[in-house]
Amino acid sequence: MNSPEPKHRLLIANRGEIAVRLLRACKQLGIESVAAYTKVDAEARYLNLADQKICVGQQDYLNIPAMISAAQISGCTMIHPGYGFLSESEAFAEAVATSGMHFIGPAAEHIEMMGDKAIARATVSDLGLSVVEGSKGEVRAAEVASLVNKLGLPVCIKASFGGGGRGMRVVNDIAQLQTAIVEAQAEALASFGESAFYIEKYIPEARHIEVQVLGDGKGDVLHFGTRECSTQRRFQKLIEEAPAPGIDAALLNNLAKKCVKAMSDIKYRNAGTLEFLYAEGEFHFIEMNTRLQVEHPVTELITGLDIVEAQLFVALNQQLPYAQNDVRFSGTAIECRINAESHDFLPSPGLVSNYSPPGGPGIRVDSHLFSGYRVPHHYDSLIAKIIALGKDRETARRRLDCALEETEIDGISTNRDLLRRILATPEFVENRMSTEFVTKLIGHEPIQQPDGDAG
Amino acid sequence: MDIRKVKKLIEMMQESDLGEIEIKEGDDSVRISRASKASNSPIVTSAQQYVVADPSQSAQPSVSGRRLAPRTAKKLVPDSSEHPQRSPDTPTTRPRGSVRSSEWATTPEITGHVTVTAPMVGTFYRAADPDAEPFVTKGQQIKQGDTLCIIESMKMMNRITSEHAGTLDEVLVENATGVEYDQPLFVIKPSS
Repeated sequence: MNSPEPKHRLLIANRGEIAVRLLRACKQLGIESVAAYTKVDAEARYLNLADQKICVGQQDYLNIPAMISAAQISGCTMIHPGYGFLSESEAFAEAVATSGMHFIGPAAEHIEMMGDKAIARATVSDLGLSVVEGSKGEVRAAEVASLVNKLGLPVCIKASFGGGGRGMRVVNDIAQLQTAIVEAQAEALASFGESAFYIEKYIPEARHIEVQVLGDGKGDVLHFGTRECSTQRRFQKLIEEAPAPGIDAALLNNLAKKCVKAMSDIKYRNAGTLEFLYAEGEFHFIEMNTRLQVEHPVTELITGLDIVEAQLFVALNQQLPYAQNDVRFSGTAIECRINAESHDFLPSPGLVSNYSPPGGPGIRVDSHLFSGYRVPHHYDSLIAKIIALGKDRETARRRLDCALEETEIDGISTNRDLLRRILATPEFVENRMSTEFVTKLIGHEPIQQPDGDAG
Repeated sequence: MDIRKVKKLIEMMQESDLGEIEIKEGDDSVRISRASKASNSPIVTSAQQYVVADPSQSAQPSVSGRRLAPRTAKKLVPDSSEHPQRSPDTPTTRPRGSVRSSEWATTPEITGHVTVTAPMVGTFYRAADPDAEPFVTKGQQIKQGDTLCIIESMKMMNRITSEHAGTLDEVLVENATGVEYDQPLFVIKPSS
């Protein structure tokens, strides 16, 4: 494929490790970059990688006029929203397009369609994908009792506009139902400004499997295979891998093809990920993320392709960079999310007195850390992604564990030791992960108190 | 360049008779020069940079550096107050109204000079339209509430008004250029 033309200039409307990822892509593709940053992030070293940097506010990466103005005064032709922040804001996608720039992502209408999880369920169901049994769209308070009765416990209360594990509650006991609804609504209202919710049958011991797709916006769609992200705590992914292990290849391929068909039908544009729960040989759609995902590197490592480059290509050329046959898979890649958090999962911001990343064959590190960096308390606790590629799953697992052991992050607490413990569990080694196994692991065996070495 | 290094250089200069010093380190360079005792204006050696010098502290070095971050540059001014924390979405909630500059980042200095900084990222205009006179010019007396400039953001014209009465000492930004959040725009010498 040809690289996007170098005359283009990209505003990176994000921060942290994903800003680093996007800056690297710009450098490698010969695209000029402008980094939007806040006063809180003014010390971030990656800002020096950009051709230009523009301060957009005190601490806010959600200010649409500020982002658009920053792009305009710096002569940008494209905006990449990364993940989180404005990445799934249809208003932002619309504003970027109206301002005459390329939004590196899908059309606003598809962001809106998939952003309302209740509508997304109905849409993909119509497109031929099976969804988790549950309410048709949004649920009104009066319908709750009869619906829960019909589905049977346990159920999952989900905010229509939730995400990242917020606005979700599992109900095992009918007595908890009202409390769970109120909590999920309050959380969703606080985080997303909407309190609408829907109800799904809760599938215990399921696996989280997802399919990465890329569309040209005209009906041509390809997939990048599957990822497995069952290793979660409170619906937050901790370890992801590609391809999804231990599931019949024909079954996975069939799922990917169905996703391609569905996305082709709606003429989806740019990168997206359809997420499923897998239980008893069946895949059930849960939601779609209309953006680049945190765990995209595992797919890049097993395909040798650059998903950000593909995103830029689609935006600039309105066509796919390659055919489905060009997407070939080799080996297994596993990613760990290093979070700045204490052993009891509380955020642990502060000064990183020493940072030393790992290396060696098959190791990739996506991080904005450096020795002397102060992790701000204002943002997400993700500070580094360590990804290992191996010829098979066990090789990747061992390489990742070795890389985690090598990683030095002093001065703040991180979840590194928990990640190493998870990698060593029989469940993980033998491919028996489920969305609940980390919770059980932590519950059965309380984490040791930190001994002073925060590493 | 490491801010501690710059601070050290300033301290060294203050202890010496040097009038100016320029240090290069790779792509970074910083020049520190001492304003003459007679001068009442800050020394601005690079128009692209946010040079914030304390004009009346004549012995105080002013600093300009090619790649100094605005924040770094500002720290060099002995400011007596931190910027108040504000709601991050304030600019969007006030699309057309006037924004009182003091709510954002006026930086009272030891001598009472204040720097008015941009409350939002956008395009800076000194006049209401291209043919009109500038709202304010250097040396002009300013009343509290006077319009200093307009910052355009997504076709919204945001009027920036003065919180202070006094004399306009410096206009730090060219008309019709882009300004980033918290970029110094004006220096005002309050009348009291």
